[in-house]
Amino acid sequence: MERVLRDKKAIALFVLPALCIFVGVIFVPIVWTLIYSLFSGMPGVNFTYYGIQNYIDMFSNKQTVNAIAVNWKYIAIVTPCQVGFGLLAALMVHYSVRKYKTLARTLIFIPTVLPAVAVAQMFIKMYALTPNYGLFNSILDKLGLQSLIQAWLGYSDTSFAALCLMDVWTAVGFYTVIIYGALVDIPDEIIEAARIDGANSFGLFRRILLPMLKTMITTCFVFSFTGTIKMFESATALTKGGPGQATTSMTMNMYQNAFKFNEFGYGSAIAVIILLQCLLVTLIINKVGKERY
Amino acid sequence: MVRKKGVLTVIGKILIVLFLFIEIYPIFWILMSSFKSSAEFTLTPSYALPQGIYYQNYIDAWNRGRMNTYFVNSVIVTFISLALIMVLSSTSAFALTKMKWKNRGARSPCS
Repeated sequence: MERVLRDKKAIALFVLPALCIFVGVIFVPIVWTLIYSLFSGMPGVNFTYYGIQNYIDMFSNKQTVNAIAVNWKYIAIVTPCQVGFGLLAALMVHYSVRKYKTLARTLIFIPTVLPAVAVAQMFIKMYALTPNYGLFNSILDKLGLQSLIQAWLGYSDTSFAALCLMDVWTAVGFYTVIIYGALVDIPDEIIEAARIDGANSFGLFRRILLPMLKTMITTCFVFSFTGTIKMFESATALTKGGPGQATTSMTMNMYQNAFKFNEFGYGSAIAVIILLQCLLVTLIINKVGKERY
Repeated sequence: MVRKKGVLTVIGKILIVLFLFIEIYPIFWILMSSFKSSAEFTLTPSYALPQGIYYQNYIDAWNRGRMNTYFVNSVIVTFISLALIMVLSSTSAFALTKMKWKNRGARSPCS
């Protein structure tokens, strides 16, 4: 058995295909992008060495700066909401629902499995003002709040909020299920012991549940962050980055520069900056998550 | 777990029902809207239930909207990628966890 498990050929056969695809699809493009980011123009057309000028140009490009600001605002709102509501819902499912736990969990999870484009189409219909009121406007109409009826996707503030709402709505089920899974694993004896020691609900949450869920919550933050920094398909499908540039994210700006304006080098430079932000913040989240408190 | 039925539990119950409603109602709404003819969709308020099941929408989507082609495309992509994922990831996971070789313990930087 030992000899079989040390068989070099078998290991190579098992690992190499996956490794080749992984390297070919992940590492080669990253290195490629790094090299591209030092050039300007389009490969094969007007590709010239540009040095780090692409990175310097980024600061003076209003659209890119705006995209970074929009993206970080989006992350600052959506990530805490996704994980926070996920945690809240998981606690409620675990402690408040007695009979229909599985049903509640399944229902909460449903939005997660829907494709982003379908969800966006649904929300467009819900936010609609013309040709007839969508769900939001008709409910407002029924409630007598006619002054609030508006084209939700037509103004920069409301369309940004509408996008945030949609993404929180979609993803919250995923984090609920993950945190619920961790919550179920906490042994009942610990909670009972804390109760006997006189812990109230808040103390129980603060001193027992939170520390025990910390690893999972950290993972959730990493998932949520890496999902929100890549903000692309939901915004593209809901608002196409508009009105104006109000919901244009970094990846959408990168896409515009690389494939619409044919500035491949500049697009690659934005991609490198996104990658760096992603790595840096993931490291910070993990560092904070490992701290004792 | 033994637990008194306190105020917190009741609040939790109300909140979870509200939460479920928010998560499910849009899907229910779009499903109901799919059964409305376009005249009915325009004339009645959005939250109204359909007056009857108008399944012509589904026939139109399948034929005129060319969902038949798109559906086949999705099935092909899903099956090929699923087969590759299953074969490649199970073999490499086995090699990484059960088989013995140098340097297999290198961890991913993100975990």
